[in-house]
Amino acid sequence: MFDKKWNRRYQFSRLVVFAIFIFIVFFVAYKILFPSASFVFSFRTPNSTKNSIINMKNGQGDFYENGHISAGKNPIFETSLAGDFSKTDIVFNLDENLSDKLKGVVEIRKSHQAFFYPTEGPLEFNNGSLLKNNTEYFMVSDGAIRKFSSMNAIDKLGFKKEAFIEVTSSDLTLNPRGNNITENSSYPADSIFHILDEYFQLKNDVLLRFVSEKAYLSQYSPSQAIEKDLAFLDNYSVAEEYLGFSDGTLLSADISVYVTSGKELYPINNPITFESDGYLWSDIIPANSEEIGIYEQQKLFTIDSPHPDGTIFHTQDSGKYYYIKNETKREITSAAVLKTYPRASYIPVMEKSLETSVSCSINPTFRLFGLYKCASGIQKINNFPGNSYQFATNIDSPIVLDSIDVEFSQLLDWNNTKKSLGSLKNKVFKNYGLN
Amino acid sequence: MKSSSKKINQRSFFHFFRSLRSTTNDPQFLFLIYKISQDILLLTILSFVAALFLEAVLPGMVSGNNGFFIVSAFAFAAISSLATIGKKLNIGFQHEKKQRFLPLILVVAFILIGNSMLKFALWENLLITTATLLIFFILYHSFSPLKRS
Repeated sequence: MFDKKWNRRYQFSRLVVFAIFIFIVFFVAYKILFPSASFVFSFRTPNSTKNSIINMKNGQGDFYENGHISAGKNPIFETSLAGDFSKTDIVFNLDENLSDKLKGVVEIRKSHQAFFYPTEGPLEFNNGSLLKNNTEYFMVSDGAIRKFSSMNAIDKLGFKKEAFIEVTSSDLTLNPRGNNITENSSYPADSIFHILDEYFQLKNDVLLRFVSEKAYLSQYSPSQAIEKDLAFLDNYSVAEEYLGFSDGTLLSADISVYVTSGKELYPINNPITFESDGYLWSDIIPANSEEIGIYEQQKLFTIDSPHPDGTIFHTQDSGKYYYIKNETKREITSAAVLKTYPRASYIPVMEKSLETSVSCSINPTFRLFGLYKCASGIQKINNFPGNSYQFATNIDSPIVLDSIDVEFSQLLDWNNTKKSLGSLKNKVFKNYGLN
Repeated sequence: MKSSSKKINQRSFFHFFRSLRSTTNDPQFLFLIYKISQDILLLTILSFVAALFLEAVLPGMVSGNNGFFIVSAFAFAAISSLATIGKKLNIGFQHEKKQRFLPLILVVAFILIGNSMLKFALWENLLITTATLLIFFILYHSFSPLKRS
């Protein structure tokens, strides 16, 4: 038992312990209601997987091999994250032995990583498309538009007239022109055949089988296929390779969800990546092992991965469509072209997210240690669809950087508290299947 | 002047350590630490139960931030301190015959187990939860049988 003096000490210590406990409770509640996210890039180890800042490139689009930032080669980098944040702090850690002071600005934009790709010329019609302009009929074969020389040619080859989509004469300039298709021509490349219950497409004089009817219907309409009997297969050899689903199709097998692109299949790592990339759960097609098996499985598709080739973005503010191919985005200028790239749904973006940015000036925090900071509110760009923030720096003089840190956080105010509580409520309801 | 002030500083420095040493060996001080450890353990247990409920309602909220590890580390530190100081002060543990917390533990366990099986039908959930608790109760008593008075 305590004497009087030690009892007083105990009561005081107890009070301190309880005060610390209450402080921890409030701190945890603050961290739950106002989460933050940190990202780092070390110029000493630019290829390390620990670098959570991605695509650290200079103005010319080349990756950095060290922290020597010369004039006109300012870093442009990205961070990918889901969640609602209202402010960001960018900390530049200079190599203090080699650098003078740092001055400049940082501009921040928000969208999807692939939507930041440079824009190239308009997208052409998809191979195998059947087109019609007034009384003229065409087919897109091997990337070229080939005209049917007569109606007889169409009838003789077995194409169905209802499969041809109406296009304008300016649409016909999108693809280069090829030779006319005559009555005596053999079947053009990319012709599609329906034999028994299976669909085939002609490529390089070899028939490629669609892995399933579902896969075929994700790319072409049923009327586009020419009806043939089994004897037709004697005229061509059938490749062992299969044709799959249209690019950007979401497939599921067991508990995994994949996104297709060409011959590749990307397993999506978690629901946060799935939802923040703008995909819809209702678009998922259950696939069997054969349908999954024709693809080459790629490494995990994380929140840091850009949308794969074949993805179509739809700008909600300007109503435009962009197709992703080879790290460029190509505008789909015609509704007819869009029809030839069927998708369950398009990834929503905002055209103005490319022009709207927030900026901040770089100021010293601990100049002695070479630390400079640029802090900016991001409410102006926060509501744009996308999970990628792009930071474009404009630094006045050459410097040597050691690392860059980026932290996203929320301002402690009543609006953000209400938002956080609402999002927690939604998460709880979702967990119990109440919404 | 300088050398005399240096000596005074050295003397007060050693005096501080001597008094610290005598304090740490003082049974009253050790008992204070013991009692504070008890308080910390109680708060840690309450935090652990709260963390279990939070994880049940919002999966990943606690486990995703190493919450269970941190709470367990505090609990182990408090238990180690209680055991070490209790040994020094000859404080033994008395096995309480009446398990006052048992109904509370059963209610918490029932809610948590039931919550983890929400995908089952209500009657299946209730049946499995009750059966699980019964099995745990029987197992517990087969490893530590009730002593006859």
